[in-house]
Formats: sequence, structure tokens, C-alpha cells
Amino acid sequence: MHPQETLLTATSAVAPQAPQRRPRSADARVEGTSPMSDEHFSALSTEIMRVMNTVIDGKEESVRLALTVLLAGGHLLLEDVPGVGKTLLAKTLARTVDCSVNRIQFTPDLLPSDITGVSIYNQSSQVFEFRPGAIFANIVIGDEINRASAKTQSALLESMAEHQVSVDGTTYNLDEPFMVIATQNPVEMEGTYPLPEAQRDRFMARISLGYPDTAAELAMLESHQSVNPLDAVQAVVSAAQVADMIETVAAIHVAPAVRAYAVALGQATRTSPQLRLGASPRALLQLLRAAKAAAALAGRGFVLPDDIRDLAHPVLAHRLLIERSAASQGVSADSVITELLATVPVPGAAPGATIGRTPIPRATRDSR
Amino acid sequence: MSRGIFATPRTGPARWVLAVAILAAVMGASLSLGGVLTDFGWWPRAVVVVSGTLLLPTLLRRYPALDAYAPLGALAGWLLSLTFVFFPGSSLLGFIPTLATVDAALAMASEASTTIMSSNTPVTSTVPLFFLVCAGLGFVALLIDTAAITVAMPAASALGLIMVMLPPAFTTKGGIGTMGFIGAAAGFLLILGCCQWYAPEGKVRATGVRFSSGTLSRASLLGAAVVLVMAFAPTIIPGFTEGSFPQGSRLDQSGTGTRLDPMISLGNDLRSQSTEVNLTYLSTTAQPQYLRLSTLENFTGKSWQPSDIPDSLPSGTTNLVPAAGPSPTVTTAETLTMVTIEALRSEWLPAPLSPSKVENLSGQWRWNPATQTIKGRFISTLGQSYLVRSETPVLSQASLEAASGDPSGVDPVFRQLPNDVPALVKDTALSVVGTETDAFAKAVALQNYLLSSEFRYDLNTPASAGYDGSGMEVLEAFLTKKSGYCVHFSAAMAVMAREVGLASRIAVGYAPGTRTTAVGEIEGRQLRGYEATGQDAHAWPEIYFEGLGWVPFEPTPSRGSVPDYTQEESTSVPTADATAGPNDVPTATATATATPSTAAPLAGGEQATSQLGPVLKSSAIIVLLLLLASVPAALRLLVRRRRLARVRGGTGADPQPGDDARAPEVLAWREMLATAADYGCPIDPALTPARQVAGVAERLGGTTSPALALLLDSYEQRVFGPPTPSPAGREDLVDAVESVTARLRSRATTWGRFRARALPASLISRP
Repeated sequence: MHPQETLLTATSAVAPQAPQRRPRSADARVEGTSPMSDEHFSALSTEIMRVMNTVIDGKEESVRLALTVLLAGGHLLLEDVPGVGKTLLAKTLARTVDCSVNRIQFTPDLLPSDITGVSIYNQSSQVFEFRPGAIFANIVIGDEINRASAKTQSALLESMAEHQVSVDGTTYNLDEPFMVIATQNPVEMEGTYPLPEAQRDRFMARISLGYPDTAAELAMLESHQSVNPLDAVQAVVSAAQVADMIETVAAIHVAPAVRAYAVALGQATRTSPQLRLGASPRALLQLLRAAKAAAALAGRGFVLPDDIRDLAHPVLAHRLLIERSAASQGVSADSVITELLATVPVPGAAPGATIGRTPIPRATRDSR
Repeated sequence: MSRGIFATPRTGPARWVLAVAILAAVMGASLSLGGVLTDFGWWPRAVVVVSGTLLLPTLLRRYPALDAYAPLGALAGWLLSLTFVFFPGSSLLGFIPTLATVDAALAMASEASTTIMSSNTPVTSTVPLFFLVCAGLGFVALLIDTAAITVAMPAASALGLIMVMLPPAFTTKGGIGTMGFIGAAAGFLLILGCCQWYAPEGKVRATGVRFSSGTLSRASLLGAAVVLVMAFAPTIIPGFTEGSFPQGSRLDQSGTGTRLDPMISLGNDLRSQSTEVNLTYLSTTAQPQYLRLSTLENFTGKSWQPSDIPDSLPSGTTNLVPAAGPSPTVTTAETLTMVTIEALRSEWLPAPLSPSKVENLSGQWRWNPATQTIKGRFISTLGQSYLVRSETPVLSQASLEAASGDPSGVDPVFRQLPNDVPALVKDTALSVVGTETDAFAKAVALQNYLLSSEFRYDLNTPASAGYDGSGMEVLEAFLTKKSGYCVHFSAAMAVMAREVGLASRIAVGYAPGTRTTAVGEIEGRQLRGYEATGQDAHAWPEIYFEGLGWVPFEPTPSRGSVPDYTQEESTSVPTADATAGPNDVPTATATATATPSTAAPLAGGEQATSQLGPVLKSSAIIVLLLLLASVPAALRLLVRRRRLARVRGGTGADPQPGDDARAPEVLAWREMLATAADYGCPIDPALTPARQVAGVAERLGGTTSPALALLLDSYEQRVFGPPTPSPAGREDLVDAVESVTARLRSRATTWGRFRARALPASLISRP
């Protein structure tokens, strides 16, 4: 039983030859110095979403969010009860992009070296050769990530944050684009290890798919009856195009007012009496990057406070720790964020007016 | 060292703003002094003095190390500016005080205090009073500056402002007045606000202040609301601005006739409606007995004053002979009057006219034959009980008609008039006298004119209309308004008598008072008891007739009793009757009804006043209310027009590329939001622009109109998009705002439309 499953033939990274060792500064972005035009970007992103929506019925929001995370260069955590299509969404996204994809099925006996790779002594050449692990791919799908032990989960840490792997003192760069899509069952389920906070913080967004509505479920029953819808999916964009798109997203303009809004939201989470742990600076950074991707997907050259607002739930909720006393009253991270969004003023034209005037959120309300 | 002090100077406008706020507050509160002085001639000088007082501390505050010396600077500025304004002649370089300046200042202050003591409010504007007022205001500015900035207790500046308002509250009938009150309240709020913004926690800001949007408009609206409420508080709470002090009263009520102008204290006594018995007396006379205290004959044009008493008068109250008294041939009747002083502290002794001997007096008393008054030396009337023997000439109409009114036999002070007698007084006197040539006929004509129904006895009108006192302007006002009390009637008659060639003086004392049950017997003669209260304080004219001496008249309607000798003639009787009842009834009745009769004309006077005054008053209040009610609408209209003008780019001010807050797109957006707020679509600052537009669109029926979309897009592009140079003007945005406004208006209810106009919500919430 091997935890590694190759989905596509384009698995050059897992080939037993020596891995590419490229300096980070000279990665494949060179050809992308001229970001693609708005029309091109829009056409590609629309096509990706169209293809994904043919596979996953009635989940346009989640699909859009998944693509947003991809274009923002982040990692995605899909969390929901079994059987609502978490893995399907991950695989569909992976398949629309023509790039290397690895899938890791996390189990309690999975070892860190299975993920990062291991150095093996080559008898013939009499040297240790590095055999790359499953992480060496453009898109890595970590299925049921909370079934592995904390030690193995932590093996993902460096690669997710820094897009590199260090084994036996040698650092190997990962291909760009690089994205981890992890799925997990809610922690209340049997036999799971909840992700540590540090690891959760590395995921840009968490999506809960939820059950489809009646119409979507009917359509799904019909379409998935005979054939696997994934079979019909062809890659829409190349890895290089995705890298270009990511670069286009990075060039999106962020006004000072929008930055101020993000900071105000973050500070509000830190001062909220209902929260034990607020949003980290990295969380705000990722929120802003996700907002840029959302703005680009909307065909806009600049970020609006609405982008921040729409992404606050998926980007922030999984990083917040609720105070025990508040949790006992039914307060959830989502309800706290909703409350903060309703109180934190949106900075307008006069940036001096509202920056730093973050109101203290209203006292805990009994939600019952 | 000096480097340390002068390091880190404050460059911002904060200290200047604070100084201007204090200046505005002090000058605003000083509006309440309008009723104390006759005009506002002191105002410019006061502005100079207060500004000078505030200038030095403001300059000192440039360096934080010198903050503690600001009060010293204020003191120096106060002295220098007072010197500069009032004593440039006796100072060095025009503003540095010298010893001569101090002398001049002391002299001026004493002159001012004399003026204050001798006149009722409003006091005539004179330089000494200017000096006093300016010095006071400057000192208040010093106090406020110290309290609000140096000690960092801006709320304590209210004490300074109250100090300014105390004089009018204590001395004028109108009290502080709405203007002064609004001025003081607005100034106080201004100080509080400025201290909050420019000197938070007692530290003057080193640099400028950036207000968040709408702070200014919100603050001014709040201030206006507070001032508005305060302005109407007096109508709801009586005595709010008029004070709980008796109208026109003074703090120092003791010593009637000793310190204050006798006329003034007389008016105050009458107005206080005191029923305290001042004195009781037993008299042998069947006629009402007037008790004189002093006389006023020195008329300067500004006031009536007692003439100077020669120091050479001997003490003693026996063998009293009046100067220019009745000739020995005139028959006299001896009257005995036993006076017991109950509660009157005066250095003048109450006595009937023509006393010949006063017995049982303690202390030194001196007889002044010229005025027939008795004045104590280092002794007052309090607790005295004495017997006055008087030799009253028996007067009849015939003897009076026969007498000449030639005033050459008396001191010129009794017939002098200032040169500038107003034409009205002169003309009135001449027309009343008409063709009469006989002195007595002239006097009777004057008396009957004043007793006629044209004139009304009213204690309050003069004080409230601002002509209390006895000066020439007061007389002019009195003859125009034809309403006043004994002071005005007697002064008018005395002046007009002098105008037609008679010698006159005003006697101040007590009207006969009320008959009591007390009786007595002295030397075999029956005495009847009377008592006089504060309300019986009175003034009446006396006119000189050669050979008969000084003859009292009674021109005041409903007070005292008209002398018999003036009303035997049939023509005068109806006139006298028409005014008030008790004039010619027998003594007992007259005195018995004297007290109620003072109240009745008062009530009548009130009603008469209510015919015209309140109409004016209420219409003025309505106009004021309407004006105040339209303030929010006007403010809103102003804001809207300014914004839209800037959106059009018509102001000529080039918007700076980085200055988003003044960009046309932003202003159009804010104006649209403000309009929406006016029409009941609340502005939630936590909503993104798109959501706010959604809210407005929902109010407009659910669809986002092109105008709204245009406004939203251009606003988002400007604020959140990459910076671009601002366009000079956006006519299309103005059209969009107008379109949204029209749609909001068309969908609003009538009440909603009214509210949007009259009470725009956007003035309070963030636009």
C-alpha cells in the first residue's frame, strides 16, 4: 500500500533522476515579465471556472474561491463531512491546469519522508541520491490531512510556506506554481489529529462545501450515475499560464484605504474579547493577496473593500481561536467575523479619518 | 540653556485657535453687559484689551518650556494693553505704565465707582466706565486663559464667563439677556471644543489638527442645538436669565440715601414692594402728612443730585428757620409729629415740611435751611423716636394765585437747567402751560397734565424699557412713553417748572402711608397714628412762591394725595378724579386705600403693556424660531451647493492628485450618501461602498440605476483604484447626484420630504 498515487503522466518531478535545483530568484517567471492582458486573464479564468462547474454542480462560490486561492499563490483547506465532494473539487482544479499533480492520502502511519523525499544510497554510483517525495509537484492534494500524525503534518510546513524542501541539509526548490489542496473531516470525527495552529495558519483559505441544494443534487445524481465526470475534463491552462496569471494578480493595485481596512479588521480580531487568538500578520497578508486575486477574477485592476469583506470568512475563520467562555455560549469564529464586519468602519476617501479608529467590538451577545 | 528652551517650538495653529476661542467667548459673554451701559462704545476698546491680554501668553506658548509663564505674560499683556488704550499720555512709549499711569488709573477707577453709585443701569457711557469694563473683561480673559490652557481645566472657564454676566444679572432689569446668554454659552462651548481638539490633556498640540470628516459640522450642529436650547430655556424656566435677584436691585440695599443716588434707591425700594414698616408717626394734622428726608435740586442733565451741604452749618435742631421761607405775615399752623423709626437707616431725618424744632433726637444733626432738611453726622435714623414741631403756612388757592413765582430770591441751583434741554421737554412744558402767566396757574397746569389719564403709574416700565433714573434722556423717554413712577413724575414736573421760569426741587421721603389705630396726646392735642412702609417711599416736586416759601405738589397719579389748594378750581377736579380715586377723599380713606391702589395700577399697567409689547415679542419669538428652525436646512443646502460646485470644478481650486477627499468623485459620492441619509437611508460606516449603494438602490425599488452605478464606480476608482490625476470637474456626476436625489424625493412620503429638507440627518451622521 503506497500512499502516493500518480494522477497524470506528466510526473517528471517524481522521476528518479536528480531534482531540479534552481535558485529561487531565477525561477520560471522570466518569460512572464509581460503580464498577460486583462482579456486573456479573464478568458482563462472564466474557462477554468466553467470547466470546474461542469463537474461540481451548484458550487460556483466554492469553485471561484478555490481558483482565487490558486491565483493568489496560496494553499487551500477543504473541510467538511465526508462525501460532499471535497476531493472531487481538489482533483477538478488540479486537472484543469496542465501541470504535475500528486495526491497524498494521509494515514496515521504516513511518515514525513514519504512527503518530502529521502536520500537513498546508490550502489552503482556509490553516492546518496535524493529521491523526491510526493510534495514535488505543482499541485499537491493532501486527502484527509488530519488523519496523519502531527509529525507528518508538520513535514508540510516548510514546503507550504517557503516552497522548498530541506532534506539532509540540502534545500530543494519546488516548482512554481505550487499549491497544496488539503481536505479534512471536521475534528469531531473519530480517529483524527486536528491540525496545529501553525499549520492552519499556512492555508490561505478554508472552504466548507456544504451539502448541495435540491436541484444540484438531482443533477449530480444524474450526471455522476454512469460516467466519472472527471474523465471529460481537459486541462485548460498550462502551468506557465497559471504562473503568468499569478503574476498578473500580484500587480493588482491596493489602495491605502483597503490596506487600512484589512489592518483594522485584523486588529479588531486581536482585541475582541471573544477570541483567544486573533488574525496574524500573515493572515492579513494572505487576506490581501486573496483579495487581489478576487479583484482580478472580477476583472478589476484594484481591490475593493468588498473583496476583503467577501474573503474575510474563508481566509480568517480557521485561524481564530474562540475563548472557551464564548464558545460555550455558541459563538463561532464565523459569527465573530460577521460581527466585526458589521462594526469595523470601511475607510473612505479621507484615510486619516478612520485608520486607527477601530471600534471595540460589541460585547458578547448571547446568541440563544 | 536658551537653546534648550527655544528648542522644539510649536508651529501649529493650535495656540492661536485657542486664543481666538477665548477672545470670542469673553466678547460673546460681554454682550450681556449691553444692559449695563447705554451703548456698546466700549466694545472696540474691550476687544483691544482682551486681545492684548491673550497675545503675550500665546506668543510664550510657542516654546513648551515657557508654558508655565503664560499667566505672567497674560498679566503683563493686560496691564500693557490697558495702558495703551486708556493712558497713552502718561506712559512710556504709549504702553509702558508709569507711576503717573497708576495715579490716573486710580483716579479713573474712583470716578467710575462714583458714577456707578450715583446711577442706575443702564449707566451712561463714559471713559471711566469703559476703563472699568475693559479691565474686568481683560482680567476675565486672563483667568480663562490660565484655567483653560495652563491648568488644563477648560470647564472652569465657565466661572470667568459667569463673572462677566454677574453685573447685568445683579443690576439690570433685563438681566443677562438672550444675546449675552447665547454669546456666553456659545463661547463656552467653543472653548471646550477647541481645548478638546487643540489641547487634549492640557497639552497644546505642536502641529496642526486634522479633523475627521464631519467633525466640524457635527460639532457646530451640536453647539447650535445647545445654544438653541439654552436660548429657549428662559421662556420655559422663568427667571433663568433674569436671575433670582429682584429686578434692578443691588447687592447693597443698606443705607437708603447714603451711598446710592436717592432716586435710584427710591425706585429700588418701590419695586421691591416691601411691606416692612419703615416708620410710624403720630400727627395732629387732619391733612395727609408727607415726611421729607432730603431734596434733590442740582440737576446736571444726567441726574438729580442733592446740592452740596456747606460744612459751616451748626449742629442743633432748635429754632429751625428755612431759607427763603414764608414771610412772617403768612399765617401758620403748628403741627406736631411724633416719628418713630422702625427700620430705616438713613442719615437724613424724616420730617414734615417747615419744621421749627425737633426734640428727643440723639446724636448730632444739622439743619440745612436752604433745603429744609436735617442731616445727621455719624448717626443714622435707626431706632430714633422724636417729636417734630412744624409751622406749616396755611395755603389757599387765593394766596397762591396772589404770590409771585419769581425765583430770584432763591439759590440759582434751584432754577438752573442744563443747556441741552430736549425740544420735546421744552415744547411739552410750553404747550401745557399755554397762555397762563400766573406762576401758580402754571404749576397747577403742569401738575394736572401729569395727573391726566395720558400718564400711567407703572413701577416696572421704565426699568424694563431702559429709562430708569432721572436724567434728561430719561425724561424724554418718559414723556414719550407716558409711563413711570414718582421719580419720573416729580422730575418731569420739576424740570418743566424750571423751563417755564419757576424754581423747583424734588423732595424725597414718604407719602402719608396708612392710618393705624394708634392715637396719642401731646400738650392736650390729639394725635392720629400712621405707618409708612417701603412702598410708601415717594418723591414729589416743590415749587417756590415768593412770600409763601416752598409749596409741595403731587403730579404722581394714584400716589399720595393731591394738595387741596391745587384742586379747588373746578377744572382740575375731573382731571384728578379721572386718574385715581383716592385723591380728594378724606385722609383716613386716602391712606387706607393707598396700599391697594398701588397694586391696581400695576395690574392695569401690565394689561396695557400686553396690548402691544407681547405682540411684538411673540412675533419676534416666532420669527426667531423660524430662523432657528431653518438653520439645519440652510446648513445642509450650503454643504450641498459647495460640494456640487466643487464636483463641477467651478471653485477654481485645483484638486491635488493625492488629495482624494476633495476629488469630484468623492464629493459626489458623499453628497449622494448624505442625500440618501436625509431621506432615511442610514449611513453605516461599516458598509462597503457597494453595499451602501445596494441599500440606496433597495430604497429606490431594488434596482441599481445607472446614476448610482456611475457614482459608485467613479468613487471606487478614485479611492481604491490606482492614483490618477483628478479631473477638474465631473458634470456627469452632478447629474447623477441630481438624478438620485430626484428619485429619492419622488419615492419619499410628504413627511419624509419635509424631514429631508428641514431636519437633514446627514448633518449629524457621517456624510
